[in-house]
Amino acid sequence: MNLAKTYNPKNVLLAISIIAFLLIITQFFKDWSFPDTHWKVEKEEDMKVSPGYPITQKFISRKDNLSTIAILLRSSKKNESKGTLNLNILDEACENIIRKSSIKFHTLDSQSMYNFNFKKIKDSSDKTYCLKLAFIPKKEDAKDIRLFTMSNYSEENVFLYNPKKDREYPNLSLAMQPGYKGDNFYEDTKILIQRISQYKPWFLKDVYLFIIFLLAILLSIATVTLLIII
Amino acid sequence: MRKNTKIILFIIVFGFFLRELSLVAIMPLFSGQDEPRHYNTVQILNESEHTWEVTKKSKEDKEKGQFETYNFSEEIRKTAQLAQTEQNPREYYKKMNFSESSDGINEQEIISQNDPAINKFYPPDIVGGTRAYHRTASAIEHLFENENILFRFFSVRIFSILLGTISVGLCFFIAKNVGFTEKESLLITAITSFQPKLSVYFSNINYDALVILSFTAFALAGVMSIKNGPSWKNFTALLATSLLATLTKGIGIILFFLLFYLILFHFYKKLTSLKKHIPVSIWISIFGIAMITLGFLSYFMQLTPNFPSLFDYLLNSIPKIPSSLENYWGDLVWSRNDYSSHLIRLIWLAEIVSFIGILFLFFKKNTTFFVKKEFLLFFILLIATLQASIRFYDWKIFSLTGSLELGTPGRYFLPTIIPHLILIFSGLGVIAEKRSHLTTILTSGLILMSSIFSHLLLNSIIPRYYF
Repeated sequence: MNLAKTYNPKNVLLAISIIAFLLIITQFFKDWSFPDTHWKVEKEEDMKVSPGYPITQKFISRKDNLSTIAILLRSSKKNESKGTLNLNILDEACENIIRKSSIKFHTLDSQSMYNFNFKKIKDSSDKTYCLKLAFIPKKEDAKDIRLFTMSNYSEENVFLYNPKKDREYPNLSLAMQPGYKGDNFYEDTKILIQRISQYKPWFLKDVYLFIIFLLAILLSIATVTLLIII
Repeated sequence: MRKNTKIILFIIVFGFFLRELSLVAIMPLFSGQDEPRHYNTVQILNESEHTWEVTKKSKEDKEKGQFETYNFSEEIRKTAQLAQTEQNPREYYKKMNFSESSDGINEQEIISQNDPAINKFYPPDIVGGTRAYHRTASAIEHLFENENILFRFFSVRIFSILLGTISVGLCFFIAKNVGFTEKESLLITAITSFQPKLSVYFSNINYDALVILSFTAFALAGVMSIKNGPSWKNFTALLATSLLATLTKGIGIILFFLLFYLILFHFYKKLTSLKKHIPVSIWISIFGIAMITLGFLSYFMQLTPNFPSLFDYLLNSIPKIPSSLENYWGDLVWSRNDYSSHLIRLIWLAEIVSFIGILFLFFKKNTTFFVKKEFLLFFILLIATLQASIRFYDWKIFSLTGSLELGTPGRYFLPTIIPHLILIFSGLGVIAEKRSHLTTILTSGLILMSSIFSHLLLNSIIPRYYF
């Protein structure tokens, strides 16, 4: 093998651009899930989550391929509640764990939702699930974290239970949205195109939009690649 | 220009156009910076003489993000309500309620609505000042008056894209005429085409799209006049672009000061060629700077400077510079997965190295570079004048209100982004010394900028609205 040729700066730059692109696209696919916007999220009362007392929420999945639970958390000061949030999806009886997901954090903010992603549950439509959210602090003296709750907007909300107070809240739910994926990549793309098409004129809808996206991606890749290799 | 260069330039420019078209579709209705106000300005210019009853409504009564409380046209207020676009810009967790098809839940109602595009509440929420952009956009709006609001609104957004596409195309000619090779110029053009903040602005209804184009065209005309000497063609182009910028937004007036400076420059060159340069070079520089300063002061005097407030202003505004710089390079801070601020630190590093290169070029003897110093000085002056004017105006508002009401977000400095990028790569070129090294730096710059753009689009903008 000709080493001088292999270590040509052009090859190195091409490799860097491919790696950068792959990293970006991986992150994109990792978050690719469509929240059920039927659950209208609002910031209302907050509820504490103490270590050792996981909050339980029962809900009905409206569709198949449940793959994300997005939860709105209240902001915390830097490092005062550093730790991990573990989310388990259990069966209706809250006994058997079906999926697990966790998020590590140093500080919490309340401007956007925290997405707990997991492998999609294929036949989730119309089934009741039990969600358990536990806070594992990094330090013993960490403050409890707080999450937002909201009045019972969605009929899919079954109940919310706070074990520390040993109390059920029938008309309250976590400020959350279940998220779903399609059956395959084609269906995921179709849903994304459908969502973007909404409230757009005909020339920025469906097949026109798909062609625009496709050509934009191809020409962007061509721009970078051509300018590296010429 | 070689045939291959033409083909690649077409790919860059057309690629930019299509990326912008994608952004136009991805950004929901009225989601751009002050977009409903700009669109209301476009609509109000098409209003015929008032035959309807007007109600007075104080602007103070409006609630942030609640468009039904704003003094917009009936059509905008109703559409915003139906399309669920009313939201606080910082509440990223709120998303529109999507339907299971390509038509929004209330889309048919929007298409068939009869609410007129007239303002019934006065004073209307519109963009003040000059109107070149809005007048052109209102002609487009008028052309499609029989179409629904979605068609008209997005057609005006496409008008902004066209302005952006021309700006990106002009970038190639600026770079080439200051001395970069065709390949280097293509690379700089491609880097510009991926600048995220610029891309977002050219996909919105906003007069900045025309301001940026005017400044870019002025920069090209200035470069041509420095390169080829003064001519009626160059002078007309400089005058026309200054006029266009001024007719679009107040800040455009600074181009007249720069035009004046260019005339002084040519005058000075003429004198030096007559070998009378020794005393003249000094007084012309002083005269030029003094005239520009006086010009600025006379323009801003109407607000009466309050010099004792300068220290307070600096104390308040200097800490905002880092976030303004991040914002300028495209940081959106929309999601927790946004790593663009880390990537932007690399641009800052490149700017520091480039600054050292520029200093070497101007102050170290025997430092030569293929881009003439005159061009770089022109760019520095263009950038410095815009920076100084905006900060001066910000200080004036601060001295009147006691707070940073105007502020200096990065977007205010976008009109000189193309000269800025060329300046950065010139400085890096001085440090690199060899031309091949400069090509590698430019290619790395392209990878970095395209990565920031792709990351923001895929991991910040799309998830913000659709995931």
